[in-house]
Amino acid sequence: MPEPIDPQTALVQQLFVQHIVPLRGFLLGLTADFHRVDDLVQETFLTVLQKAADFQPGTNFRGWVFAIARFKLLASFRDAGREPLIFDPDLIETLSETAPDFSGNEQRFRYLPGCLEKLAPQARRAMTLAYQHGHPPREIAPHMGWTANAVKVALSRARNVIRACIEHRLAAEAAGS
Amino acid sequence: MNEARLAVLVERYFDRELTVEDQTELQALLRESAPARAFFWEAAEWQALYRQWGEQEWGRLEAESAGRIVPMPIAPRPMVRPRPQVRAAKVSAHKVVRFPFAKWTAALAAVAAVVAIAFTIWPQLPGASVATLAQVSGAVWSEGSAAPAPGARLKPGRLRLERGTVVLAFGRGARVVLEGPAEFELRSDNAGFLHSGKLRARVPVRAHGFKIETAQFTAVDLGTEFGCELAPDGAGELHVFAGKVELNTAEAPGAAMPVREDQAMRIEGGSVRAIAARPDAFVSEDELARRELVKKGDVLGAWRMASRQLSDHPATLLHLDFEGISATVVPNRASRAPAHSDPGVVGGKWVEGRWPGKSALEFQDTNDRLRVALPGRFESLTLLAWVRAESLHAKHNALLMGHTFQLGEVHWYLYGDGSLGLGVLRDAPGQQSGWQTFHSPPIIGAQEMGAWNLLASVFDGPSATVTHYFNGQPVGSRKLSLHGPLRLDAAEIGNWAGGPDDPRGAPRKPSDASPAFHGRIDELAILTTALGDEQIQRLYQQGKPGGH
Repeated sequence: MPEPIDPQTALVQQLFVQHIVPLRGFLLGLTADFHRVDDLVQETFLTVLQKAADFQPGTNFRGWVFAIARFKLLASFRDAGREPLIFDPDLIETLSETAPDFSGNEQRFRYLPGCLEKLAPQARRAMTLAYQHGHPPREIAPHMGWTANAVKVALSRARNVIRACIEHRLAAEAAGS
Repeated sequence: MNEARLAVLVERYFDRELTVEDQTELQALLRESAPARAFFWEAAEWQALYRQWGEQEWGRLEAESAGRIVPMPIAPRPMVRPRPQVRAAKVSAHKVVRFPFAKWTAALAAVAAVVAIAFTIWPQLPGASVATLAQVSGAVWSEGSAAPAPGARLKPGRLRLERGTVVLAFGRGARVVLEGPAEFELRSDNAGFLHSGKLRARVPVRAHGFKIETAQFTAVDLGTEFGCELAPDGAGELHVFAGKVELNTAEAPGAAMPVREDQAMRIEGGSVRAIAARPDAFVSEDELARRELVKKGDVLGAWRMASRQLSDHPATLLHLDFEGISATVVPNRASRAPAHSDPGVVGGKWVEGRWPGKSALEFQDTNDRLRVALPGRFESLTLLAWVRAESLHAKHNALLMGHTFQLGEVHWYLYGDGSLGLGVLRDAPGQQSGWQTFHSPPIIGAQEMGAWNLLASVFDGPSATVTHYFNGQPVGSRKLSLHGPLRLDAAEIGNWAGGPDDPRGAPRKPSDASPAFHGRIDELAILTTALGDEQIQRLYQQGKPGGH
């Protein structure tokens, strides 16, 4: 006996899957909190499935999902058990209006591994602790035997190196070389 | 717009290093200026890129270390002409490969979603088996029921189990432990109907959407572990141990209610009410495997299985199994261990524990100790330790002792007379009345010296009651006069950093010896909940030395 999934739910599920990366970027921008992003993506997914019937195929799926995610985020603003959000609700609304679709990252991601190689081992370690393990500089500092400030500077430089490297390679690609 | 200043603030924002003043300043800049917002989002795009890399690496390393092979998101070969959604599904599968997902779980969920769609469109052939009978333990099938042998492939149909336990491995990956007496109907490779009895399901990501129906309710899994019980009186219960389950009652189908981790619902005639989740009431596959090891006489293997269950308990804050000898740390095995909570080793000697092949740490010197930091405030606590005392030379022989002298601080020790003691700092340090303590009757006498014993103390916050246990049996209970939660913060195991001379501690005579514990510890756990008599007894049965 096959599982009954109506075509509309199936479509919405599959569209959601295609939009997870931009959705995570959108929520990361508004919260700067990796763990919160995880929770919000999951909550958004559940709501999206519940409301699958409301989605009109052919309309802007990203807009619909981002709106639901923004709603979840603002609702979590009032959760007593959570850390307060950094941005006020009105600013979250304003920023949401001009959020990008993060499609540019698709190209950039291809060059990221190669460009990470350009980093010194310690800088790469700082990037790993920051973006894999999700630690802020003050937590990375004791791991590396550095001051928090030194970690901040190292991360900042590492990001500049990577960004310049990726942009350079993309420009070279566009020029056909 | 001061672009350099904005760049600094945005960087601090994503590094989570904003001060309160920075926060106000950044918000004002972003409110006022559209170019500032454009700059902000551009920075966010790069941050998202780095995080995407980090999560992908993390997921890959995690999968590698667990020895898991990560399934490639490729849709099965179509058996019917693909409909438009199917083509779209393949597009998304392709996209997964080229553009890796942020978090592995998300990636797997994505794969599952794609595969789920595929399966919906390519139904299984009629007459095909939908599950395998993976394990059988003391099973007696009812008369008239099919009586499949272990390893048998099962087609849709009913199973009536008189007693014993069986494990069903569904075609799509879900695994169900069915406890007799029970009547269960296999419906598909991802669904079943529980007519009566009790089951526990563990559902991997690829089987998302696994469904258990009963006369009272339907549970649809969203990636999880859960238990269902249908009592003879017709009432149903749904317990969620991990992840999330969607509950639909028979009365109001379509009004799905999410049930989360550590939640349970009782469903009776259309009414749903929350009850306490009882993970122990549903036999897990791990528990079943443990029992089989016990039958075979492999006590160490059986203890390891039990130990893993304790590590995975949702309330376990610290679990030290003293396995994997290290000169520097004893790893905290709790699956929800707080960051940096591995105790550091200061002195001590690695020796044999409860069984040959099991290691323990011996505290011999007055300086031997483990140091641990466990921040937080706890309404209830359970402290457990497998201990082999060699002598009780001091008034307080430290098991676990805080040393920050904050209100609510916990001291756990064997008292000089052989009793087990728990003290909580209630008033200002240094005052005679500062410590609220309760000692059990003496439990460690000359006979118990040099033998392994399970010591446990439970503080139940709502009733403010301490109960001490010796080898699984309660040996005394008293209500303490406390107001406020308990805390551990900086603490020591097997010693006390406060020292006998510290004026903030309980008053001591100069003749009092060092509070260092003399003996061996080979397992220690702290749970942030009050375990009950049955649970403590079970832990004793699972860990007692010399077999079962």
